[in-house]
Amino acid sequence: MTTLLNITGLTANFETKSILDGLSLAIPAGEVHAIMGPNGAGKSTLGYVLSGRDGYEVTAGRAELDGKNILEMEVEERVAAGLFLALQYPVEIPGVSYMNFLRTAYNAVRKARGEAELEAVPFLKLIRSKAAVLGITDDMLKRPVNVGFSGGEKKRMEMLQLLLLEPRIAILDETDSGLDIDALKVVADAVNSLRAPNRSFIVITHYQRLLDYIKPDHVHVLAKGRIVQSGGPELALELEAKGYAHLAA
Amino acid sequence: MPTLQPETPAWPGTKLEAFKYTNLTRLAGTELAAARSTLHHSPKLEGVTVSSLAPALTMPVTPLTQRALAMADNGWLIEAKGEIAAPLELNLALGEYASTAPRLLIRLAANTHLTIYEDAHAAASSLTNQMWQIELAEGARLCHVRLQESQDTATHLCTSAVTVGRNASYKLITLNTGAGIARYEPHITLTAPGADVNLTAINLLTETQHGDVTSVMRHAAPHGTSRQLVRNVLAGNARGVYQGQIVVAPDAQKTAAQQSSKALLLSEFAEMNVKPELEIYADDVQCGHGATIGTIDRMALYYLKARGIPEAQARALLVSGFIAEALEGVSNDSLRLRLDQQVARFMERVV
Repeated sequence: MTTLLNITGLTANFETKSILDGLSLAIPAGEVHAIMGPNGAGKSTLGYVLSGRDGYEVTAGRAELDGKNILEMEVEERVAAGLFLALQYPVEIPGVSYMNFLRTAYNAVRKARGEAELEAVPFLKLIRSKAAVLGITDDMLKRPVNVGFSGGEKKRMEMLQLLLLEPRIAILDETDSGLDIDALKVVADAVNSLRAPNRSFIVITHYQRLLDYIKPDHVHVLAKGRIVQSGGPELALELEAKGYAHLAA
Repeated sequence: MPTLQPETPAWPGTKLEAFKYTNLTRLAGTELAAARSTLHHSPKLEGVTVSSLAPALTMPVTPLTQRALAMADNGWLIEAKGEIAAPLELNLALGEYASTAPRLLIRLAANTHLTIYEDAHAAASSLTNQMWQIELAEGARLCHVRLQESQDTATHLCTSAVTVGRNASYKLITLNTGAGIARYEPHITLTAPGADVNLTAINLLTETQHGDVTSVMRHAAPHGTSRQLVRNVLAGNARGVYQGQIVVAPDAQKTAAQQSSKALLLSEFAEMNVKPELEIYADDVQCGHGATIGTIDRMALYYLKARGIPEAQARALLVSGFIAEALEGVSNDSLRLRLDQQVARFMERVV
C-alpha cells in the first residue's frame, strides 16, 4: 500500500519550547488514523506544523506528501498540494462574506493546481450542493466568516471547506469539541462521504465518541511530542477506560 | 508671477490646535501660479441648474478659508429641486502646476432628493484649496459620494459648510486614496429638529501620503442624529488624521451623535492620529465615540492561507473586510463599482 503522508523524525519548537520530539508516522492512502493523547502532548502542534503556521520552528525531520517535503512549502502551497487542516477554533473575519471567502479559496487552489477558475454562477451552484449536505443555508453563506456563528455552525463550515477543497490528506483538530450529538453526526457524515482510496484522514480527538462515527483504521497515542503507542480501533476504547496516566512513565 | 495678495494669511502649522497633526507650513515657498478652475458636470439633469456664482459664501473662518478667500477663482451655484434619480456628476478641473481655490454653493430645495458624485481629482503638482457650501432645506436628502484619487504630487484641501434643515438628511461618503497631502474639513450644522447626518470617510494611504479628515458636527437643534464612521488603512510611511468635533448646543436635547474611528496599519512606519472632541451643553443626549488602531490579524491571515489563498490576496481580502462596513452605504451600483475599483487600485499598490 502506498504511503500518502510520511512523517519522519519531526522535531519542532513553539517559540523556545520543544513540542514535537522526533515524531514519526506513516499514513497509507485511503486510511483514517486517529491521534489521541493527553493535553499538551503536541497534538494541535502537529497539525499546525504540518500546515505551516507562523511561530512553529521545525528543527529536524521531514513530512512528505506524495513524496514531496511539504515543510519547505508556503502555507497555501501545502493546501494546493493536498493538505487540509480543520481548525479547532475557526477564525472570525468581519466584513468578508463566507461566499466570497470560499470562492476566493476555491479558485486560488484551482489556479495553483493548474485548473480553470470558476465564475460566480457555477460556483454558487457547486457550493449550494455541498452546503445542502451539511444543512448550511444561503443565509449562513452570506454572513461574514464565522462572525456570530455557534460552535457547531463553525465546525460545519470547516467541513464545507473540506468538501470544497477535496484534499489528499485532511487533519481534523478536535473537530468534535463543543459539538452535540447531532452536529457530530453531520461532521462524521461529511468525512465519511469523502473517504476514498486516494485520500486519508488524521483525526485528532480527546474522546472515543467521534470514533464511533468515523471508524479509524489505526489509533495512535501522542505523548511528550512523539507517538508512544499504536494499535487498532480497540486502543481508543482502552484509552477511554484507562486514561493516559499509565503512559506517563 | 505671484498673484496672491500680500495680505494672504500664512499656511497654518502645528501650533494651531486644528492643525496639530497636519503641518501645512511646508507648503510655503512653493507657491504655484494661481489659475481659474472650470467645472464639468453631467449635462442637463432635469431639476438641476448650474450657474456662475456671484454671491459670497458663508464659510467658517479658518486658516484655509481665509487663504481661499484671498484668491480669485471661479465659483458656481447649483440649485436642485424635485426627486432627481440620476446622480449629478461634478468634476472641478484643476490645472497642472497651478494653485486654485474654486467655490461651490449647492442648494437643495425642500423635499429634494439628489445624489452627487464628486470626482475630486487634482492634477499632478497642483494645489487646490476649495470651499463648498451646501444648504439642505426641509426634508431634502443629499447623498454625496466623493472620490479623491489625485496624484501624489498634488495637495488637496477642501472645507465645506453644510446646513441640514428640518428632517433633512446629508449622507457623505468620501474615499481618499490620493494626493501627497489631503485635508477634508466638513463643518456640518444640524439647524432644525429631525436633521440626520451620516458621514463616512475612508483613507487608504501609502508611501508618504498624509490624509486628514477634520470634522465639526454642530447639533444646533433638538432631535438631531449624526453618525461618523472613519476608516484608515495605512501602508508605507503614510499618516492618517481624524479630528472629530461634536458640539451639542444647550437646547439640542435628544441629540444622538456617534463617532467610530478604526485604523489598520499595514506597516510599522505608518501612523494614525485620532482626536475626538465632544462639547456637550445639553443634558438629555446620547453621544459616544470609539477609536481603535490595529494591525493585520495574524491568525486571520493564517486561516486564509490555510485555505489556499496566497499572502497578498489574503491581505487584500482582510483589508476589504476592514472597510466593508464603510462602503455599505453606497447603493447606486455604478458608484459602488467606481469605489470598488478605486479600492482595488490602492490594493494593487500596497500588497
